[in-house]
Amino acid sequence: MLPFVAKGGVAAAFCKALPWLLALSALIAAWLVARTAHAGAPSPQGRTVVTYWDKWTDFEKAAMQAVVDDFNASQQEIYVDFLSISGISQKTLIAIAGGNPPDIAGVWANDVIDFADKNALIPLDEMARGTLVDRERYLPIYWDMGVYRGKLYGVPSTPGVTGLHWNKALFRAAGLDPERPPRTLAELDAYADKLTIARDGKIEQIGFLHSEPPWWPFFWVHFFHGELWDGRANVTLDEPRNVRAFEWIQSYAKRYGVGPLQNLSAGFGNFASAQNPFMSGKLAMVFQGVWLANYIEQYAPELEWSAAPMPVLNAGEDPVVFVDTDMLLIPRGAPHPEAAFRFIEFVASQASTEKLNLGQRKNSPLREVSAHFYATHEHPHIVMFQELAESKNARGMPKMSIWREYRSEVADAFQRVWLLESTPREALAKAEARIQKSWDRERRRQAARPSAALAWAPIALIALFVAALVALALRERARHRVAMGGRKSARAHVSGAKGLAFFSPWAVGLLVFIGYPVAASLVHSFCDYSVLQEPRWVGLQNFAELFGDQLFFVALRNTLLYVAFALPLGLLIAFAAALALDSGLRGSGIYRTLVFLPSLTPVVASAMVWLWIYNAEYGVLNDLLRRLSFGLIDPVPWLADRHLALPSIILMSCWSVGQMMVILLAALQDVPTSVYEAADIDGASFWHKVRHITLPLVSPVLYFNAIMGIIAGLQIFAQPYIMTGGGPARATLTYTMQLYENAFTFLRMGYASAMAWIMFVVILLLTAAAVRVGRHRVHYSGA
Amino acid sequence: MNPASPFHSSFRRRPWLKGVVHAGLVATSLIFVFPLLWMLSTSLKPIEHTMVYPPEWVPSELQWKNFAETVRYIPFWTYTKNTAFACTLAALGTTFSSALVAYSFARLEWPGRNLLFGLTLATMMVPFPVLMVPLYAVFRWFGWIGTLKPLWVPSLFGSAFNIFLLRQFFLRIPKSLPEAMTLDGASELRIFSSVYLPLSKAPLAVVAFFQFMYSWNDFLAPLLYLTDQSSFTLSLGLQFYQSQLGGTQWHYLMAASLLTTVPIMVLFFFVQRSFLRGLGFLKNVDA
Repeated sequence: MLPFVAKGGVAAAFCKALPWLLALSALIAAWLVARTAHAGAPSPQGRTVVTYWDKWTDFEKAAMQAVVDDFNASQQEIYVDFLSISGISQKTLIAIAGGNPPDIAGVWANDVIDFADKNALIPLDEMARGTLVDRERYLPIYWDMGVYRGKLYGVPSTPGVTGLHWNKALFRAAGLDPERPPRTLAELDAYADKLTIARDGKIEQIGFLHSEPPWWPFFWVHFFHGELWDGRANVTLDEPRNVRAFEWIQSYAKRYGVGPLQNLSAGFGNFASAQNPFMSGKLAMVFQGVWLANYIEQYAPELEWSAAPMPVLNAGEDPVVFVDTDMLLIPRGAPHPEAAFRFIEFVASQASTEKLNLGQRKNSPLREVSAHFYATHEHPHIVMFQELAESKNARGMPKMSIWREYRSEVADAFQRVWLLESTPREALAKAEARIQKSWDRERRRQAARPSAALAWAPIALIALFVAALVALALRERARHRVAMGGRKSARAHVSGAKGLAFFSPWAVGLLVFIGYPVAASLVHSFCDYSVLQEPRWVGLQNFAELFGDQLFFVALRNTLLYVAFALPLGLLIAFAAALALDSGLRGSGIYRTLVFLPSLTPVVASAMVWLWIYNAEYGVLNDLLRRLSFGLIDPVPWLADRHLALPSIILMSCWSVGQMMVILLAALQDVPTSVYEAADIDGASFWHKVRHITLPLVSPVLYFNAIMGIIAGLQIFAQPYIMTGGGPARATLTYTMQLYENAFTFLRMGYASAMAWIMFVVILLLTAAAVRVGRHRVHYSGA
Repeated sequence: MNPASPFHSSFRRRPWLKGVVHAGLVATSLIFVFPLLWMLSTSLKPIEHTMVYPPEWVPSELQWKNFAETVRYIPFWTYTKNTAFACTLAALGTTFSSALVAYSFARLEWPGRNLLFGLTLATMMVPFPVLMVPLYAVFRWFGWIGTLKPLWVPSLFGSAFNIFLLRQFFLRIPKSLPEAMTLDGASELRIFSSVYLPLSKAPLAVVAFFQFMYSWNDFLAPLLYLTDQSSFTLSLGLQFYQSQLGGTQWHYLMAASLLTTVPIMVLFFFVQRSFLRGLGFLKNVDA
């Protein structure tokens, strides 16, 4: 009697229908595969539809929409479909990688470098020739931000420029002339002193702060004529002028005290709120952008303020100005690049650019500015800001492809200097060393050429592997024939062809969906690879970088901790429950179902319900603990606490041990009665029997579950991704999350492949170790 | 009372122990089933009643319309349709193809068979993160990014675990019957379809259910390959309740989570007997 044949019932009906269902699904499959190509949808009016993604919301969106509407009305061939997208940079990059990008994307200037470096953009030089998109028409500082390695990739749309903003009422209260801002840094310090009000060691109002806003800690060096980079091979972060700038920053922390400054900053609200320290009157002078006026109007319309160029080191110098701009660019793979460029050219016209920047209340990126622009602009200081953009000392961010990393290193150094944890010289030298190393690596990477040979390398690897397999198989057959006495069995031969025929679907599956990816991932782990161009060989650089990457170790540690606790705990619970269910008590069937059911809950649904159970404010777990402890236990912020978040996720994983339990239960039911009877005669205790009979007899199952559990556990992703996003303070950042982020947020796919292979090797080692242990400890019965 | 349990003689000597184990089982069952009940309870509350402390364990007023509203809050039916489509095709596809391959491993003799079977088992150790980046490039090359195809087309070519499971079962089918048919001139395909498949209804159902559940659960693959909101599956769609401005709509989220869970449970009850036996079958693993 076969153990599996279900009699009647739905399963049988299902199986009777199975061949038909299969045939049907094969047909559907064939049809779907056949119609992969999608035709470009024409607009209702039969025009070419150009998709345009940008970040704008609110009045800024309205300003751009007005320009889009003008364009759509100005001609009949092209229709621009403008969509407001949050997280624009990442979404655009991912869409480009997926081969389904918009025709135009509006991103920040620095993204141009990042995207162009990944080969994600179409160079515009050809299309721009002889059009309004012309270098001569733009302010050079803005135009150059769209140029990378000699090619034009982005066209400035809405620029930004910065200056000193001050609160006139506070000036008056401090006995300063509200119409005369400080002009040199020395004056700024003196003003700041007068504008600071401290009582009993508590600062109530501060004149000036380098940490507000915290967006550009790297920029202060320019006030001392320092530079962050020589434009070529050398990072110049620790040059003496930069050190002086950071000494200036630190002088504030020394003068006012770290503690009082921290207390003060803790009370600052969001930038876009009435609790913004400048708007609430806690900060008298601030280094901010032209956009600040919009926010003041919205959140603090009563504020008496004015703006001027930032003070300079030596009186009479050209003002030091931080500039940045939004950029329009055309992604690689855009369906209609020509039509897209027509729109960009339309935006580039003086009328459209001015209309756009009037609407967004920013300055113009163009050299020529109309009288109308100044006359109708709502910003009270627009003339001054427009002039600032032309200053000889206007600076943007350095056009380095590692700028993201550079910036975070400087922010780190700033923090240490600001908190008096380090001298400026030390902090900058340390950051400099790290950035220089990273930049050297980056330059080596950029020097390596993308190689088509590397793109074919995985296929070559597979071919080699298949050849080896065939050779082995042939040898096996030859040996078989020798064993058969040299007789060539006709049947065996026929069966060989049939065997391969039945095997063929999996041959495709193995080659395309497993073999190629494994080989490609191995090759990519030694390459710089972004899916958008052929890989560049970088040798062991990815691995070297990984071992210097703090996040890599944080993620590895969290993941190993997860497996080390969740797996044994789960096995223990499953085994204990199976043992109890196996004792034959009444109602076991019901209990079994109840413990099993949660393991059917989809991962996302269970993450959601546990998120709700763990909720710090309204969560039922806190309520349960409070009731059980008669009100002694205070509410615990489970997932928001850096020490409890990972344990909470481990605890949750125990909820779905049902399947493991059912398997163990089936194994327990195979243990013959006789062995227990024999043990009883010997007077063995309960624990003795569990230890020496039950455990050894179910050990193969435990062992199999442990290995599968290790493999699955090391890949944990969905639960922390959904519940905590890796937080708080990266306490639940797992290996796969970190890998996913590198591969699909930053498109550092070579780096991600190196991570993946390290994981693979860890799995192989752990499995090998488990097999070794298993050889001694696992008991296989003779069956 | 099960005599083949280490508890047997302890229960006989100390009958009160039965009570202890029983109480333990009741407590465990309650703990395990509680989150599901809590999901149900929250899904029936008005939103104001979810945001109170201490929380109401049993809703003081039942708001059934939450279920009607939750499916309008996000394009729930579209996501359900997408999910069901991908899961059904994946389940049927993998069942059929894995059975074919398992047959070649279990019954047919061909050069390299054992080698490839070993290789098949070894692929179970390959973690998805190793595959996901190159697969992205493969699917991109096929033009499948943003469609449901990456979620089901690969399963038409079999999967290692299912092949393994079915092979183990096929090995137990006695060879005498197919051999007699071979002598009568029946083709392998005929033996496969008229002997092996009908005798393997239960394991086939298990494999189909396993795959269906796996696909229904899957979060990472949809996250990677579905870039277009209209092709989202339920796993991705549920996140929309979370990210809305003005905080999470817990009552809708729990209702939708419940609606996402129910199909799997219903399906489970249909294949329950085969499934529990199929899981039991996993105990016969040769490591």
